[in-house]
Amino acid sequence: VKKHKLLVGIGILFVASMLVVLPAACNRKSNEIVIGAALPLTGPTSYYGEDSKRGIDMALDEINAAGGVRGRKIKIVYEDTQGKGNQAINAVRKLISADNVPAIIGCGTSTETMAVAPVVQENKRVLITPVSSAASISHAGEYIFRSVPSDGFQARDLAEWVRNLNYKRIALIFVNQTWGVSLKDDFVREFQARGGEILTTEASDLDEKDFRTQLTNMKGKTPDGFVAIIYAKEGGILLKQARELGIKGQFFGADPWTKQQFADGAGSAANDVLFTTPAKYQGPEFQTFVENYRKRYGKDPGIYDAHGYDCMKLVAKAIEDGGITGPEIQAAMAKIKGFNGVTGETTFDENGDVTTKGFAKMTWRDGALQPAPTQLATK
Amino acid sequence: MDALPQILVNGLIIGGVYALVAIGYALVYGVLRLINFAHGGVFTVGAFSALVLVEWAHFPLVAAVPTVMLIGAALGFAVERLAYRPVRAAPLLVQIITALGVATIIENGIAAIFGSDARSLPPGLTTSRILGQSVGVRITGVQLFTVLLAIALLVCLWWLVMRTSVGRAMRAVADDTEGAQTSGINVNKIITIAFCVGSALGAVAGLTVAMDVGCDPYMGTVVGFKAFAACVVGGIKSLSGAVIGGLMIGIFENLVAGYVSTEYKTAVVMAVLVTLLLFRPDGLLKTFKERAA
Repeated sequence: VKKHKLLVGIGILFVASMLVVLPAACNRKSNEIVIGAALPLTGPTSYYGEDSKRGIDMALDEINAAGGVRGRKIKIVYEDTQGKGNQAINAVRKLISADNVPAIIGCGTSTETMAVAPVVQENKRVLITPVSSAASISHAGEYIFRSVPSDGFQARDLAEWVRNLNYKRIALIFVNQTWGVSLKDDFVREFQARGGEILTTEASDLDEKDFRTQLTNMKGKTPDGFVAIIYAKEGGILLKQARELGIKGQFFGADPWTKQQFADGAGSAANDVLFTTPAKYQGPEFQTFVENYRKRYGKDPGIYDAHGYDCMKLVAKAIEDGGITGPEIQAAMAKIKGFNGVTGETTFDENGDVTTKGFAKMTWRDGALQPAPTQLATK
Repeated sequence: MDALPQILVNGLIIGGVYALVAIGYALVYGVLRLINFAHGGVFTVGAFSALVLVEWAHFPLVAAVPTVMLIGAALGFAVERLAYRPVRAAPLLVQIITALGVATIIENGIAAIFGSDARSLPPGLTTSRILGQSVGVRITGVQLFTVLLAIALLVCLWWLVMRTSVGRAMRAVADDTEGAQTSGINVNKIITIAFCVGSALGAVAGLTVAMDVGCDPYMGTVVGFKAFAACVVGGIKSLSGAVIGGLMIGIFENLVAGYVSTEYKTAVVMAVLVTLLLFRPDGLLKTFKERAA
């Protein structure tokens, strides 16, 4: 009787494993080119993944409706990175070993992208990120590209802006992971180079929501103004707590503050904050994209929807130009010049960085995201 | 401006939250010798219950607090019945895996229902007057409410544990489960009560944090971790130890942030706690008690 049970057990296991393996095997036989996407679809930075995914899906349908590339349809496999480096590595390893993808769109946070960089380099697969902007990614390897401009440029523009408004003594708070540290370091260097003085740099953890002690420290230094390199919802909470603690000074921030979560968290404290963000390209390609996006999703696209869309189109172009293996796509991608996408022109430099996109200056006013006034009061 | 009073107040408030959550660990560990890893999830459920009640069902705060506590208690009851009781006789490892499984289910269940975005409660409830400006310490209405509620609940808990027959039975089970059973105490009932009480406190802690900074499905992980550390430092079975441990971690982490380094705040706090445990392996309170005896 026992033996019988064992046999049945083995039989069930066999059938079950076939059910798992067969679809993957079928994938490979079909005529589709399989591409991976490793993005934070859950977790505290899930908005990056969700936004990019909408753009990617839209571009994918357009590409396939037009006949695909090299006469073959493209299929995309999504893996969730949860905003964490170790999960991102798992996701990318799975895409490489199980799905054997030659190119991956991802990741979200710079922490994730830096974590997976050695893995894609070693396996010679292309990684193109619609989100990660840390300056350190520039030197992560020749297989890593991005459609968003590096924070090296954002730090420069932000520092220049703060100094031009005549703020000299700044208290700074940053989120203590790759993106925050990298942008903070660059900002401090650029700001000091322009004669600015950094009175204190306070750190916060990624999932921290209580900034009162850091803010108390910053307030104690009596700075001219404040710079907060903090993600969207945390930035909103930070602003609210700053006002509650009686801090009245000007706050400057960076690109995550374009997200609605920032304004939700801050409430009225969001008014008049100043921050830089990758500029939304306003050309004809973008206008068409907005129309189609509205038809498909019933709302307006954010900046990362547009970058997700362009990443998919860039991958498709590199496959068309180069071939379907990682090294072929890498070689073709590196040669892309003057690609007109919905985020503007893409030309890659030798680091896989895009040098052709600028930063915009923004603010919030009564719950609406707006360009910052060109005439601002100087300190 | 001297920042010390403000830093102490900041620490005291978050410490009160840790204390409320830490009690849940201590209660369950006391009667069951089980580390209830799902407890951080109960905290998160409390926060989201507050969101649903206040924002969608328009409950006033006075009604939301007891309702959230009831929801927490019901969740604690369900978790104990459905997840822990079936494996109570199983080896410890099985129980720990079960606890981790429950934590994962709760966290991802909330993410599936509400999405993984952070949410804020309506501003009418959360923005309130700034108090205490004159003495150089600023505290919002929500923070004051957190402190007062924590004190009130801790007094109630003290009364329940020290002054009622249920509390006496609870202490008896914690002391010697088999002895308590032979003297006619319904151990299962006491375990259920411990889960319900601990979860009610954990859930209401979630409510206070939701009012202060909003909620997201992963908020329970960090608070649960720190509250657990508080509980271990205090002496894992001791309720007053959990409260002292909670306040200590809250105040200490803010002092480190204020005067040492915000960058290595958590690392410094944890390093000190580990060192402390090297010298007082049973936690602070246990040692005090033994000394007194």
